[in-house]
Amino acid sequence: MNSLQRMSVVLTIGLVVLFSASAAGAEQRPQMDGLTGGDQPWEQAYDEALLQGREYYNAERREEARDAFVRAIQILPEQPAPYRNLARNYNLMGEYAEATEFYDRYLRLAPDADDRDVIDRERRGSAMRSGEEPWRLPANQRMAKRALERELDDGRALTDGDGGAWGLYRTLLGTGYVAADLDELRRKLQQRLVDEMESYFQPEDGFLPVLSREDWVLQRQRLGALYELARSAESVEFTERRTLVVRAAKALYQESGDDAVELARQASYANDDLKFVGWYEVVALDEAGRSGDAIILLDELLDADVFEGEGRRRAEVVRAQLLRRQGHSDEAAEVYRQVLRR
Amino acid sequence: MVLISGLATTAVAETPTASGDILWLIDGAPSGPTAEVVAGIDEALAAEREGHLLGDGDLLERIDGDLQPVSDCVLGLTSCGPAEAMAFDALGLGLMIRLQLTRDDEQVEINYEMVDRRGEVAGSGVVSAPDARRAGFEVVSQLFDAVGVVSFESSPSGATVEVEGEVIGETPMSRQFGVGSYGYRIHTDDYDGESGRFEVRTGEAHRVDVELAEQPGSLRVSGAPDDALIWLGDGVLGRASEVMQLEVGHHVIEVRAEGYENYRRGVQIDSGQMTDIDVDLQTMPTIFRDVSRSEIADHRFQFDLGLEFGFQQLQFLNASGTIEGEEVRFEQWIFDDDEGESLSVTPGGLRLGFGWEGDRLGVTFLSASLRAASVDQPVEIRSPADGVTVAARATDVRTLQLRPMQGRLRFFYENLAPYVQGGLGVAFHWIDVHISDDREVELFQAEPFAALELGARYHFDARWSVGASLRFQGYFADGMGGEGVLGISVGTGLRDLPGMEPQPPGEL
Repeated sequence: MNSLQRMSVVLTIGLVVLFSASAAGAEQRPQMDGLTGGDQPWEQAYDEALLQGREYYNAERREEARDAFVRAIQILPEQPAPYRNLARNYNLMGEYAEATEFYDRYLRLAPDADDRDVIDRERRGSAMRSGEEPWRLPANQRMAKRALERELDDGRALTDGDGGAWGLYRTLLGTGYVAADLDELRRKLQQRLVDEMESYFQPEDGFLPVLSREDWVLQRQRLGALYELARSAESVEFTERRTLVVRAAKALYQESGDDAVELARQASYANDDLKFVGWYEVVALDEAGRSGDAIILLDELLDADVFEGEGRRRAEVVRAQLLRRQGHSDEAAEVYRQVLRR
Repeated sequence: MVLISGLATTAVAETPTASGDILWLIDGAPSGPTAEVVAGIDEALAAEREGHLLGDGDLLERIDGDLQPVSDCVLGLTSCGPAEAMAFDALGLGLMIRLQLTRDDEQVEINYEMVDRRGEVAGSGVVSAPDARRAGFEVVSQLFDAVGVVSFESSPSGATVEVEGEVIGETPMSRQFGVGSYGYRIHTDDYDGESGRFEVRTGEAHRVDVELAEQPGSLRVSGAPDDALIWLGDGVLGRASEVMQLEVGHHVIEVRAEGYENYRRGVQIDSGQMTDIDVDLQTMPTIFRDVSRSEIADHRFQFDLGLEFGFQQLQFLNASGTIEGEEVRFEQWIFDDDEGESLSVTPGGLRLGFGWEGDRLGVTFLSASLRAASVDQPVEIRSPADGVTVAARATDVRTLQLRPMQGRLRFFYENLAPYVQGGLGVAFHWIDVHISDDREVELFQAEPFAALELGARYHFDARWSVGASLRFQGYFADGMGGEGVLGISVGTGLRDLPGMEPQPPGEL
């Protein structure tokens, strides 16, 4: 064997070995189960939906699998795994335009996924079979989304009868809408709900927020919606704190006696950013026949400057009422005179 | 003589304080004429005295009386209103009159204010009289109501006017209001609303004139990639996938997307309206566009077709054929000056290749070349059976070279990908030999060789490329030598072979 022949053999063997190593690497199967493994309620709901979808998928129950994957996406729209699974499910259902769309969404959400190459090739096959017709957002989803966006921009977050943006959001979910921007819509809705709820908690003239019984019902519904939309421990904690306020107010106007006192105390302790909540305890004490304790607590609140400006004068009028109830007429008359003289 | 300089001039009976008792709060120097004034008021009130809390005794009596139930407002269920209103409710009041007494040597002067349940001063004034009792009388006689006129105007007109949350008409309009402070809002569907407060004073005309700003419109762009940027002037307005807010009027926007020519057009934005535009982006020429390496590598099934020119010392030591059933073999080339074993030729022809390429490593499943050259060279052929050598003339040579399973390694410098490829192959040679006018024979030989090719491909886009190459082929048979081959080619890449794309797995 001459030198040229030996060189040729060595080169050939080297290239074949290198190529084999590369091909073997490409065959490694990625491990992406997509589960969060978290213990937060939304994480558990997401994992449950994803696992259920897989079970249906593996059992070739395509429609149930589709619904479960849709549910998973609606819970955590920025998790890529259910998009991939949904795309594969659509692919096997022969709905190639949908499959292509969801492959694309997966690839957008997980540009560096280990299985990108495999998914991309599946997507190409799906795209080829779907022909020229691109996937389009179904008309009902498009309309529902537009309505929601309009309501989020210019309307109310929640109105009576589960209306407003919250109702439209649920309608949109009901149409099966799934996209990564759902998370943005959810966050926007969440913020709108918080803003709307907090706007009702703004004290009127430094005294108390004014909410009718119907308003309180809506506040409770807003908190329910916020709980469903919460995707962080901070959101849940915030929702639970504000729920105490709603429960305290409800106990107060239902005249629940000592229960109202206790609930108001808890709400006040948990919501130190809502200074007016301490007032609920004052009123609850008075309703429970403990006017003396109410005066003591009210004096503490006045000393702490919980009420400002006009609000302080209103609190003084109530203090005069409590003094009358305690039989301190002269002191009450002096308070009235001070208030009326400004 | 009684001097009156009042601001309020109409009767109390028309104020919002018509129901409830009237509390008099009197301030004055301890040594002043308070008692006389109270006596004067008491006397002046006469039959109406019952509805007035005039002194400390009246107030304490009221406080010790029936306690009014606490309003729902302390639960926050309704608005408490001003502190005065709460105190009015607690004491069963409808109006409060505050008096400030002063006295000089000749006159008793009383500054008075009528305060309604809102805490607003509904009327005020000053009375003076030579004595305190007459001054008390004079105050009682001055119970006034107060109104003013407010006109509302807007540009444009026709806007809805709300006062204290209640729609009262459209601009332009005028209306009478009781003295006090009112909140208003003026708005239309297409313009941003204006809101604020106005004060009504007795007998005064007040004008509320607002210029409404048009609401912005929205723009939605379709027909462009979602990540296409929408420019307005020097700034980015948003992406094509978004709904963008724009001021009313005509704007020129530019749509910029990678791989497309910039697109400009004018759009008319109407107040509060969504404007949809459909753009038709033209793709950019791709020849000099940067193409990402991953995109190129993604098109892993490569085909190429090109031209080749070989530089070869032809030798046919093992070539044979048959003529009239008798085997003949190539013996040698005949040259004018000397006898030789090989002939220099430059056959040209086609080249075809098909292979798979990863990011860097690849394999050419089959590379084939078919080349031919005309020669006009005397040769000798020999019959092995009888050992007779015959002079003849070679006219054409043809070569088919097959190079299966060639290993390939490439590098990237932007769109340019130099490569080296090597492997084994086999060449099939044919030579046409003209013996006489009616006798021709085709000789054939097959020889294995090793090939090493150096080349480079320039990728115009992820799919199309052109390449140039130089290949060296060394034959294994002793004496056959080697050849160099120059080639140019056009290549195309496919992501997958049609119909062979992977299917989703049966189980996740």
